[in-house]
Amino acid sequence: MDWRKVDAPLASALAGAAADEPLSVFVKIDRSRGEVDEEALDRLGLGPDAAGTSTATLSPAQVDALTDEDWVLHVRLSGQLRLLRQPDQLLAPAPQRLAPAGDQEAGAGDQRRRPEQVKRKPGPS
Amino acid sequence: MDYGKLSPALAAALADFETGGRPALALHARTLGLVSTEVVSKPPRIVVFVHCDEEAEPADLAVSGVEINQAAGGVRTGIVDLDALDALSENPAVTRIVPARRLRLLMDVAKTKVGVPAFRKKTKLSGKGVVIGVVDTGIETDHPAFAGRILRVWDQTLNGPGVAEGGYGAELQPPMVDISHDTVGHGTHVAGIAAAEDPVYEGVAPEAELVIVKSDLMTAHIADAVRYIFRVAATLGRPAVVNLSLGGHGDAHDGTDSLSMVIDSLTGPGRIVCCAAGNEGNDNIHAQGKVRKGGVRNFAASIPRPAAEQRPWVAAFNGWYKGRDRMTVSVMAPNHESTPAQPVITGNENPAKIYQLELGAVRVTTPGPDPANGDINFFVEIQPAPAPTAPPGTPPSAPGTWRIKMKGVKVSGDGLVDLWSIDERVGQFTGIAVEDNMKVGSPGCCTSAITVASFTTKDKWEDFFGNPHQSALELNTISDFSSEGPRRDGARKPDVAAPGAMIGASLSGDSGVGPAVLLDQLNRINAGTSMACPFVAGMVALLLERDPTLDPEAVKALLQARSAIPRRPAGTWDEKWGYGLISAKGL
Repeated sequence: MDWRKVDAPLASALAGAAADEPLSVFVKIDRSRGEVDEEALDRLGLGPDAAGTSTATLSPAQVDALTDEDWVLHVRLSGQLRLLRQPDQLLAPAPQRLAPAGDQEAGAGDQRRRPEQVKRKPGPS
Repeated sequence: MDYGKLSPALAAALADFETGGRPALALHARTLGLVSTEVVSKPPRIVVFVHCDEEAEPADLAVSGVEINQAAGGVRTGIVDLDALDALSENPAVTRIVPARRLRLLMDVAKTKVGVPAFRKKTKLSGKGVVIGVVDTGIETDHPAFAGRILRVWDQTLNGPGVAEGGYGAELQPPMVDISHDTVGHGTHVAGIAAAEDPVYEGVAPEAELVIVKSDLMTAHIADAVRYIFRVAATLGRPAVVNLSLGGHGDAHDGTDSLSMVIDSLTGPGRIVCCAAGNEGNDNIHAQGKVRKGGVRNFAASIPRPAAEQRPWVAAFNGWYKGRDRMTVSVMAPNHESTPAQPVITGNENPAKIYQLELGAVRVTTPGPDPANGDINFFVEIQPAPAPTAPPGTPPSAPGTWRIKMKGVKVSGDGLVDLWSIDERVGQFTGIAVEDNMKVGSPGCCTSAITVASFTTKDKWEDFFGNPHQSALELNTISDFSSEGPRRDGARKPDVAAPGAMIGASLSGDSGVGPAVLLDQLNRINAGTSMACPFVAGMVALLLERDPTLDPEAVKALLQARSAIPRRPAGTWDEKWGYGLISAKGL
């Protein structure tokens, strides 16, 4: 393994990875740096025409083999992103009744629109 | 008439009708679901909720002049001739009759705030001929808001042969797109903001077509998804804008991470990517400090301990400093036990080292310079040991303060170190090193992407059941949760702000949703930079319809020139606002 080509998250993952653990990675390839093993690329799921930054799912041994190739610039671990919405409990901390107390039923009747068109499957309750 | 079953508002409307006839209904028609009030050939009618016996059969509710929409349930909707209210109220199966109300048009509030309706009316633009790509949790494919406009779904989570960009998942075309479901609802809502066709919660570009990727949110697969969308759009000969309402903090925060670089390589004329800035504006996920040669700097982080019965968690921290410097990293537990100082490790040795301390396991990873930017990246992962079992009723133990200690071995510049917590739920910084900036992560840091902050256009709403709600957000200003820039290299991110709270848009019927955020059977309310991002993606679709050759720089220039921060000079950039709230006026 050429650890210089491995980023910190991938090095950390490799330290605790089982031999057959699949690792989703980015592989940066520079074809001007040496003769590329096209069959190896295809076998690794990178595609024989891979160039620039490609993605693949590799075992630790495959990462090891790739980093030893001159034409591989670096291998980085794919990270897990998150959705960027606020949790529902932060959106509506506690129900409030803004309508005057005497008009509660009017508030409770604040349904709305196009019930004539509501023919789709039942929504969640 | 059993007046006890009529809501006060309905009783008042009925009384006015009985004394003043149709003209007396005019005032009520502005707020209640009254129809046919001006058509003399038809009786005035009103849309209502009918509260009734749960088990009542349709025949039990059969009253002349009454149409009930559902065959079951304790609360059903329907439309009733005002003349038929008497008979309906006397029906023993009926317990309450409540009029439907006309609610505020939440998405319209957002769009009007930034001038989209006037812009679309003037230009006749609708997104037609433009592909909006949404990489997210999928879409409810049979939602009427998207009827006939979903061109492809690549569901990366299904078993299948994959696509040219990745040999996994399954590509679906109509009518097979129904195989894919959005059980989270995030993607459906995002797509709705950009492109829903809906009489109330219309999207910004309601005639744009959609290419959807349901993703597992791995950065490599998101990169594949962006490639896929641009390839499909090119095959169709159409410009495309891709929406990425997702993010993380495992990157260098300078646009050199792999996903950002892939996006940079793919964007160009007619190929635009919009990214959400992030929602960590209120979270202490960034720390910064200067380390002198021979000096030590502590970065303190608060990390909760799991209870004995809980699954363990790992608090991960992503650190960066200049490649010309060399520092050691050690970690001190709350009981002051410490790992050894670990230098940068190069050569044939794995730079990840594991240390077992009394209060938890620590892994420190210190490789050599990152090939993409030449800087040093280090990772610290802390798995706190479970708290000892306490007697019942004992309060949970307070989070412990762990310290990441940086010692300057070779420092030739300012010795600046930046650290980010990967997950604010299990690790946030405390103390003087906390910095309330640089909280836009990947892919928001991508150079060519249009990165969008959130502006609050609505703070109150009424749910499907008529209950009013109010968020804690301040109205008509930048949303406090919106993440601040700039990038670590000083580049300006976010780019602009757009309405992101509170936004009503499409609801996935396959997702779970709480009653407080349910607006009707087709729409829900939500907030986040996730919501602001598709607002801009929709606007970009309008611009691409007008000029399919626009590239990211041109789109940014157009948007930035018409964005503004209130009470600040034109062209001002701010780490929270970017160049300010977008405006369609004059685009």
